[in-house]
Amino acid sequence: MNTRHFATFVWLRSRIRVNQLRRGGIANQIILALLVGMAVMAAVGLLVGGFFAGLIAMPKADAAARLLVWDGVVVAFLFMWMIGLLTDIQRSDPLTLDRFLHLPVSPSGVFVINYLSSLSSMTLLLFVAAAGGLLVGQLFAVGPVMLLGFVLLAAFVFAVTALTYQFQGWLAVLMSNPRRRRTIVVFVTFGVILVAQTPNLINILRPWKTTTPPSVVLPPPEPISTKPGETPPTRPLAPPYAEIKKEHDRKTWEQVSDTAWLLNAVIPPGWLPNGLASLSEGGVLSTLLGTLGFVAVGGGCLYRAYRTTVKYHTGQFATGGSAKAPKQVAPLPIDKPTMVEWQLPRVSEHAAAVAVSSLRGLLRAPETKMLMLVPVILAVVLGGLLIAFAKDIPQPVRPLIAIGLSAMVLLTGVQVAGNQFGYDRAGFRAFVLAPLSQRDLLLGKNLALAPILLGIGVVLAMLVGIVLPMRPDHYPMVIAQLVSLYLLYCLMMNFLSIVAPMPLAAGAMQPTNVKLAPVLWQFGFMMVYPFGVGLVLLPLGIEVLTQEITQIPWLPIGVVLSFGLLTAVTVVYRRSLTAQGEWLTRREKDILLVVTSKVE
Amino acid sequence: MPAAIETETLTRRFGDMTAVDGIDLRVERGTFYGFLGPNGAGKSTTIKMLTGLLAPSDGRVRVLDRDMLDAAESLDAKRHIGVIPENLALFDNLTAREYLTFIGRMHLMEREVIRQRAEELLTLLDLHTEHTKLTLEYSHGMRKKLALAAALLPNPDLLFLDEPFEGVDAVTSRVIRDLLANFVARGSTVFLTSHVLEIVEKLCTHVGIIVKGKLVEQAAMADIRAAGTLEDRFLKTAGADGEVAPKISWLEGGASS
Repeated sequence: MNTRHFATFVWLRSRIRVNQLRRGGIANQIILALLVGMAVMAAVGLLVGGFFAGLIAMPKADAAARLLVWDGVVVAFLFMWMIGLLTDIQRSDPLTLDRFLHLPVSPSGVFVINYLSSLSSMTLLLFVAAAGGLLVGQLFAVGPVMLLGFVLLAAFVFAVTALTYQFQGWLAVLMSNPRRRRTIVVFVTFGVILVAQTPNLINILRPWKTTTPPSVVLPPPEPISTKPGETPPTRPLAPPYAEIKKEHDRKTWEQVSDTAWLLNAVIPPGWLPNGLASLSEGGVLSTLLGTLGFVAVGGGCLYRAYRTTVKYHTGQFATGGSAKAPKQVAPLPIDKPTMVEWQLPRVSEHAAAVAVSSLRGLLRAPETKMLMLVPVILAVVLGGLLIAFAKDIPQPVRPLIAIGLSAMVLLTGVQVAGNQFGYDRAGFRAFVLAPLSQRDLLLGKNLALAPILLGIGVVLAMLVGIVLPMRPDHYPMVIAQLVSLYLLYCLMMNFLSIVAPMPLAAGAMQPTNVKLAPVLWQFGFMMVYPFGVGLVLLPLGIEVLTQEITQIPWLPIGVVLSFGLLTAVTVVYRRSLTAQGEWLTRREKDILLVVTSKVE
Repeated sequence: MPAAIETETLTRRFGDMTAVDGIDLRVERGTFYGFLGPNGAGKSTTIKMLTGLLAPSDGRVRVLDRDMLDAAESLDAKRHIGVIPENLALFDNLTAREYLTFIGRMHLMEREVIRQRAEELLTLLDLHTEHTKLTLEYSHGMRKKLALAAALLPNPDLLFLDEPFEGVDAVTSRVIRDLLANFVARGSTVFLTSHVLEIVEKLCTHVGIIVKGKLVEQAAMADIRAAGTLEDRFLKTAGADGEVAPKISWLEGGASS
C-alpha cells in the first residue's frame, strides 16, 4: 500500500458517502448538514466545558470524585459506542476485502485503511472532545505530568476501536451465512440492551448490603405554653442528628470510593479513569500500566482481526467444530397441513393465505424475533419495579399499567407494522401480480401481525394481572380494550405502509435511502398514537369517574363500555379497511417502485 | 386469431427520460414471442406495464382481451397469466414449497392440487431436495427456477418471462426450453425477453425488437430465417451491423510481461 493507494481509498470512501447523500435528496442533505453542525457545536461545547471543569472544578474535588467523573465520561462513551456498534452490524461494509483482493493492493493495506475509516465516528469525536477538554484543563491546573494522560487516552481509544474492529470482523465471518447473520444481529442487539440495562437491574436487585440512614428518635414534645399574641418558639433540630448523618455520609462515601478504585483497577475500561485520577495526584505508575495494557489489548485485537479477515477472504477460515453430516430432511407429512396451508375461519382464502404466509415469514425474520424479545426486556426493566411497589398501586391504575405496557409493545412494532410492504421487498411484486383484492391483502397483513403484537400485548397484560391482581371484571375489560387498540393501530399502520413505504436491503433491518416524507409521517403517527390509546382508555376513565360520583366501587361499567367500544371500533375497522384497500390499489405501483428500489 | 397482448402507443416516462416510446405491440394467442433489444432498450419496463407492475404514462394495454388499466379487468387477467419479473418476486423467509403454496392459494387452487403440482415442478427443476432452505439462501439460478415454477403452477394461458435463462445451468435450460415448447404447442402463449439469440431463434415463432424505447421490428421467425439469421437481423435493426469494433492500440500491442 503506497500513498497513491491510500489517497484512492480515501477518495473512494468519500465518493460513496457523497453519492449516498445525493440519492437521499436535498431535504436529507439539509438535515444531515444540520446534524453535523449540531455535533460540531456539541463537540466544541464539550471541549470548552471540559476545559473549565478540568481547570476549576476538578482540582477542588478529591481523587475519588475525580475518578467518578472520569468513570461517568467513559461509561457514557461506551454506551453510545455500543449503540453505534449495534447500528453498524446491521449494515454491510462498502469496502469489504473481497472487493479488492483481485487488485494489486496488499490485504494488510486495505485492512489498515478499513480500520482507520472505522475511527470516523461521531461518538468518538464527542468523547475525545470532552475527555480532551478535561485533560487540557487539568494540564493547566495540575501541571505537565498530565501530558501522560493524553497518551493514556490515545491508548484507550486504540484499544476500544481495535477490540470493536476485531469483534465486527469475527461477526462478519460468522454472518457469511445469511440465516445465521440475522440471528446474530438479534442476539447481539439483545445482548447490548441487556448490558445497557445492567445498572438498572443492579439498582433493582441491590445485591449489596444497604446501609440504612440513621434515624433519630426525638423525645415527645413538651407542652409549650404561649400567651395570646406571642409566637410559639421553634424547636431546634436535635444537634446529634446532623453529626450522625455527617458521619454516615462520610462512611458511605469511603465505601463508594474504595469500591470505585477497586473496580477501576480490575475492569479494563476503568484503567483510563484510574490512570487519570491517579495522575492528578502525582501517581504515574497506574497511567503507565494502563497505557501498556491498552496498547497490548489493541495490538492483539488488531493482529487477530487481520489474521481472521485475511484467512476468511482467502478461504482458509473455518468457523470451528467438526464437519457435520448433511442434515437428514424428514419427508413432508401427507395429510397434516403445513402452516402456510392453514385455513382461517370466517376469513377469505386470499386473506388467510396472505396471513399465514406472512406470519410464517415473520416468525423467521430477525425483526420479529427482536419484537418477541420486547416483553423479556420490559419484564427485566419494569418487572422488578412492579413487584417492589405492587402493594402501593391502587386498583384503578392496574388495568392502566397493563394497557400501557401493551401499548408500548405496539409502539415498538411500528418499524415492522408501519412498513409492511417494505419488509416484503421483492415479494411485494407477488402481491401486485396475484389476483387478489388489496383489502384482503391488508386484512391478511393485519392478521399476520396479530399473534405477534397483540399476542405479546395480551401476555404482558396478563402477567401484569398476575403481579398486580385486578378486579375480576377488569381482565375481560383489558382484553377488549387491547383488541380495540390493535384494530385502531392496524388502521394507522396500514395508512403508514401505504403512504410512506421505505426500502430495506436484503437481510437488513434498517430502512435505507430514507426520504424526509416517510420520516415526517412516522413522526405524525407518534403524535396521533396517544389519542388512540386515550380513546380505548375512555371506558376505564368513565368507570373511575362514576365510582367517584356514586361511591359504589363495584360497578362494572368499564367492561360493558369496553365491549361497546370494541363493537364500534370493529365496524370502523371493517369500513376503513375497504377504503384503504381501494387506496392501496391506486398506490400499489408507486409502493412497488419504492420497496423494490435498489438499496445498498 | 384473437390477440393475447395488444398495446396502443404504450409509453412510459421517468422524468425527462422516455423508457418506452409509444409502442404498438400485437401478440397472437398460441405464439412464442421473443422480445429483444439491447441493454436499456425498454424490455423490462414494457413487461412491467403489460403485467400491471408499472403504470404507463400514456397508451393502452390489453392482455387476454382485458384492459390492464381497469382495476377489475386487470384482476381478472391476473388469474390467467404467469410472470417471472425482473429481479423476481420471492419472499426471503419462505421455503420453495411454502412459496408455491402461497401462489397456489392466491389462485384459489385446492390444497391437494397445489401439493401435487408443486412436487412435480420442484422435481422437474431439481429443487425438490431443498426442503428447509429459505429462498434467501438460494443461488440466483435456483431463485430463477423457483420463480418459473411459481409462474407455471396455476397453469396459465399466458406466460411473461423476463430473462428466464439468465443464470440457469445448461441442463435446466434444456428442461425449461422443452417445457415452454410444449406449453405453446397446446395453444398457450409465451412472451419472453432474452439476450441469448440462439435460444430465441430456436424457440420463438415471432419476434419484436425494441431499440431506445421504440418498437422497430415485429416479424415472424420464419420470415427472419428466410432472409438470414436472427443475429444478423437484430444487429441490423439495432443499428450495429456496420459497426466495426474500434481499435485500441495498447491492447493490440505485445503482452506487458
